[in-house]
Amino acid sequence: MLENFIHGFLLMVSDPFTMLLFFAGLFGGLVFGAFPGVNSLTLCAIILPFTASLTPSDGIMLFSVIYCSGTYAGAVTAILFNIPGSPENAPTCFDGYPMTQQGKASLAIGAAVTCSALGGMFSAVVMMFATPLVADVAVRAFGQAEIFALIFFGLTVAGTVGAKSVWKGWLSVLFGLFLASVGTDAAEGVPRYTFGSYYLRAGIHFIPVILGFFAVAEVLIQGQRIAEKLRVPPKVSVEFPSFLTFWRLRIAIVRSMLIGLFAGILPGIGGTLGSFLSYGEAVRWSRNRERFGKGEIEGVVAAETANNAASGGAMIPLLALGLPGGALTAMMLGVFQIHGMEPGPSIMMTSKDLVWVTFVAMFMANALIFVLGYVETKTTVHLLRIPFPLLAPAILVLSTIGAYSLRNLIVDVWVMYIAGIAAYFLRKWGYSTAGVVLGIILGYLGESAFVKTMKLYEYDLSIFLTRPISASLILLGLATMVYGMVRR
Amino acid sequence: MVTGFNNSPGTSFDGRAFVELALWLTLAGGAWYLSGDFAGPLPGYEPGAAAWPRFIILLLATVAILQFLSKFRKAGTPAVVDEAADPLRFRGAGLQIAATFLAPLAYGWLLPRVGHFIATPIFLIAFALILGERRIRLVLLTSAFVFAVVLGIFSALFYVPLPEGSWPFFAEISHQIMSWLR
Repeated sequence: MLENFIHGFLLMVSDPFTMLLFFAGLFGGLVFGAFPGVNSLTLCAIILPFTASLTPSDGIMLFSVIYCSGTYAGAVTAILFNIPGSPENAPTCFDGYPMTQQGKASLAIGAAVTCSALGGMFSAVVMMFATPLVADVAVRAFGQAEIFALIFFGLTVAGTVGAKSVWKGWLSVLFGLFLASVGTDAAEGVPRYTFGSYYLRAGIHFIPVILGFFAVAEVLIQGQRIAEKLRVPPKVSVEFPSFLTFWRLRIAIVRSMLIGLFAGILPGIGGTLGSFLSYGEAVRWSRNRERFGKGEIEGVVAAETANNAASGGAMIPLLALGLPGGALTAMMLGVFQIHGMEPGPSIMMTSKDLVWVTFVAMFMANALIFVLGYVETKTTVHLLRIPFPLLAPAILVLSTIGAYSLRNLIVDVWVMYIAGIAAYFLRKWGYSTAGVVLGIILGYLGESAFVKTMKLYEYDLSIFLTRPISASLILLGLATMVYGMVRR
Repeated sequence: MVTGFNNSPGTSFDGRAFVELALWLTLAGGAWYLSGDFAGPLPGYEPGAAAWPRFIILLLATVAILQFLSKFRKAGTPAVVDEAADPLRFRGAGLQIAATFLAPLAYGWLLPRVGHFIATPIFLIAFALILGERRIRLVLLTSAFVFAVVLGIFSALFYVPLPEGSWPFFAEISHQIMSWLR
């Protein structure tokens, strides 16, 4: 493995253009991820056509580096402005933003930097060692019944975090699941709730919804506070978390790495569910549960370690099986297809250079995130000094462009603004916008897994309780629901 | 495992509980009614396309009712005073709040009509003023900087086809700017 690593490293550093792309991807992900309103997915959607002129190796390497740096950078906006850069960063808001309000933004960003780098490097190493093996085991052990059971468990966790009460948490998730049913059904593509609209047949795209739920809603809420003279600008500090802080949280970090990696490996699950599950487990195992949601650094650590650990994990099924784990890895599949390639079990043999350059680039990107992130911790917190009335128009303009540029459809801009106004009221009434978003993202996938299981096992619902992994996950989900009700 | 998050907590049992229940049940009822358009078994899937959304709708209605009953049951107990509570009420400045909500909608409406190159700088300046920023020079400078960054990254560097407007006069101006940029 070391030989392959050195080979990939030399291939990368010996080509100045590849290195230029590496740094462009690294900074592009950091910049797009750290500006509220746009994210790494926006950047990837914009540059996807340009990858046709790159070599397949450079194209995949560029996207994987943007994936790593963008996932980390999305935490910065989540912490500073309560606007997650990507859905994976949504649970980071739960404690990151309260920390900012308490003048501890740099502590939260410092924790996010360190844990993102640790999670990312861990998953990169696992990816190097065990891509074919892990992918094979994961796919064999996790059939559609288990995927459904895992989504069920993840949604029950999401229902118990982030809202004012468990009822509101579950209503948030159920509302998201309902919105996900708009489009076509998972069995035979029958149109549902489309009202004859061609646009709605493709379903509601989650990026405009996320931009609306987080960016637009936050601007409206802060705008109202400004009008009512209630807004207090957060204090700026440049303190970095101490080694002792991380040592104290070592178990949470390791647990989050494993959860994130596991979630990333499973096709379609990805970092979003991984970070929710990790956050939920951090709350479950903590002795200070009541501090979560009020600025507990462990909440930031759990979410950020997991979502970056998922980035390496998500590459495993993509490379070894050709199965994308999320929107960005689906775009990477597009890069392969642009070049007439199909990732799969043989790619480790047929495109060894591509695979190892990607592995090395992801490892290096995560290592550099630590260095750049440390500098960023000392600098980006100063964004808080910008008066909100000057920042808010920029957030809305970037969000509008971010929503529009995905598919060049003005209707996506409208979806964003409608979602923003809806989220304003949902948040005011104590619902969890993060729960709605997770419902939207996982709704179709959950239905698809359920339908496939039902068809495969002749509509026998007991199958979910007779397969050990799926039964365990269903029972864990039910236990989470009961636990949430008892504790409310 | 329920956490506080940064959502503003609500209040004890009041009229809003009825409003919330009514909204959820209206949504559920409407969605159930509309699901009749695609109900019925499918050749390859017996439960049909409506089975999944109907199951979700039933759960949603059930949880909404349980939430209402839960609030109703608690209504007899003294409400806990929450320092962080920020219920939905406007304390004056209604015009400014209305403008905060309407300006982005106006921007979204104008964007395909007058084009990004005209709508965006106007919105950048107008929204900053609506939010109460009165240092005009700072507003102009910041708006110019943000607009230049947007033009530089999205139009000049990545050739993102942002709306150029459908109203003839504005569309011509947009074309001129585009040709100048590229």
